[in-house]
Amino acid sequence: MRSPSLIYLLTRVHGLNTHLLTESDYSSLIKAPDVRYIYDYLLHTEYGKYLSGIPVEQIDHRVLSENIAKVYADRMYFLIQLCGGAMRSFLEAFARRIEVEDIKRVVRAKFGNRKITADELIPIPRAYQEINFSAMVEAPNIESAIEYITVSIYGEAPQYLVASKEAGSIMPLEAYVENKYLENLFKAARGVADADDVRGAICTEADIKNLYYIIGLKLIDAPPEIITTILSAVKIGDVAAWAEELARAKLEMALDRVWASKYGWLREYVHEAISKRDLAATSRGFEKALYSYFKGLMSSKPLSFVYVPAYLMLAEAEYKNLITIVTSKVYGLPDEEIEKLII
Amino acid sequence: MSITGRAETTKGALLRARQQYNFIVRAKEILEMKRDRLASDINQSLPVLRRRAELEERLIKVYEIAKRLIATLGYDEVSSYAKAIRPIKTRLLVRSIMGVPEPDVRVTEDPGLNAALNPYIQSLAAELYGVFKEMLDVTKTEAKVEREALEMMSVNRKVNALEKVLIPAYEELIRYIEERITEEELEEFVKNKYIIVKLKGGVV
Repeated sequence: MRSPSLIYLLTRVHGLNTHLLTESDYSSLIKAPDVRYIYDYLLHTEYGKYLSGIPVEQIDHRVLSENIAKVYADRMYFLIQLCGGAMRSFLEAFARRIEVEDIKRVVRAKFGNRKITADELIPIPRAYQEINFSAMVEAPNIESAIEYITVSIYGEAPQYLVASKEAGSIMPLEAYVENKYLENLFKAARGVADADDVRGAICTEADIKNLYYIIGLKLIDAPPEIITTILSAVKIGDVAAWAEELARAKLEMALDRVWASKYGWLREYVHEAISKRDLAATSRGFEKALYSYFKGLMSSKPLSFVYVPAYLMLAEAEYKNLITIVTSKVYGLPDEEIEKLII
Repeated sequence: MSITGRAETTKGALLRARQQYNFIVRAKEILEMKRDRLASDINQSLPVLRRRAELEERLIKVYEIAKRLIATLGYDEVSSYAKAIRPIKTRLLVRSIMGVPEPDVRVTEDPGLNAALNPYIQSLAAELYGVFKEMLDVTKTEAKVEREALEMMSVNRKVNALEKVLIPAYEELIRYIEERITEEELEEFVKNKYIIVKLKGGVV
């Protein structure tokens, strides 16, 4: 017997799912002659709530992107208010992906000794801010900035910072933050309904992201040591078990290993791009595979709790797609090219 | 010619004029050698300069990839990844070769292209850095050729001035002094001859 709170949440999410942009919306947006047309189009959607308050003469791609990010953040945090207990904890843990994105943005800037302002971060509602991003942004160096995230779930960050400095790359630290987030999410999924489905989905996300890093880095002939350092942060998913083997193997051998595994289905998304050594298509292929997986979950398990994270993943895909369309219009990319970039 | 206008017509002046003439001829030869060296250096640099068109084409291709990358990840995301990559540090040296100051830019610190986690960004940064380094070589050569060409123009003007004005003027001066000295010697000889004949009681 399903709990009433789960049924209520699932009903709301099914309703919210109808607010996401459809294929025909994307077709219209791709054909938009300029950013102003995209603004007009989005006014009649969920984005209208923010966009309607902006004077037309102030509309440009940056303003539009900022407001698209606000809607994305809203969608991530809105569901938390609708439930309690383990579901709430899970959704709070899930929404931390915005925090992860902001942490990555700050540490990248601090690692390269560059300036960064709070405006460059995705807004997080004050109630969910566990990390003091305002202070982190003002930190004089990366060591001081890292101190602010150790109070959260990222307690081992200083160790990975040392590894990053040794490698001359922020990759180990970024991989740690991302994998720590997924590990925390995996733990938070323990008490929710349909925990196995949810945990399976989290592991799949972790695996697809890590496979992209491994294959992508192999495509650019990165040294195996750096791949091993990155994979040392991976704690969940099947890739964690093959990490050492994949890091040392040649690209073809690593691919054979992946195609023979339960991720053989990724082949149709990325095989052609990898054989052409096209990193853009490979990157987009992995993303398409990830979001298709979650779309599939929504169709096959509409009454499972996994429907909720799947919806949030599609909201993330929509955010990425809209950013792609807006940026492509600014840079004058042809419509057919934009269509290929849509997830 | 002004040089011959007030010239002393003594053997000392002739000696000085010859010394100066030899010095100017030698200077002209040295300047000619410098001009030839500069011309051959510019000639050798031409294949490097021709690479600019090819590099600009590569740069346009990288720009197209960058456009796709920014469209794929969004401007904020790409800008964030770019911040992890440290800026290139360079050192400007000016070397003087045959009196021509030539700029030399040396990369003292590579940008650390593997800093960003995204392989797509890493590959684009590597491609862009490759083009940048080659473009830096071309730019250095362009600056060198520009300065060498200016120096060659200046040397050419000096050689022409020596060849067409100063050397002929000195040749004219030497010829003039020589003629005057010969005339004076002849006059002296005739004078002496006249005196000797007079002293011997003869009739001239």
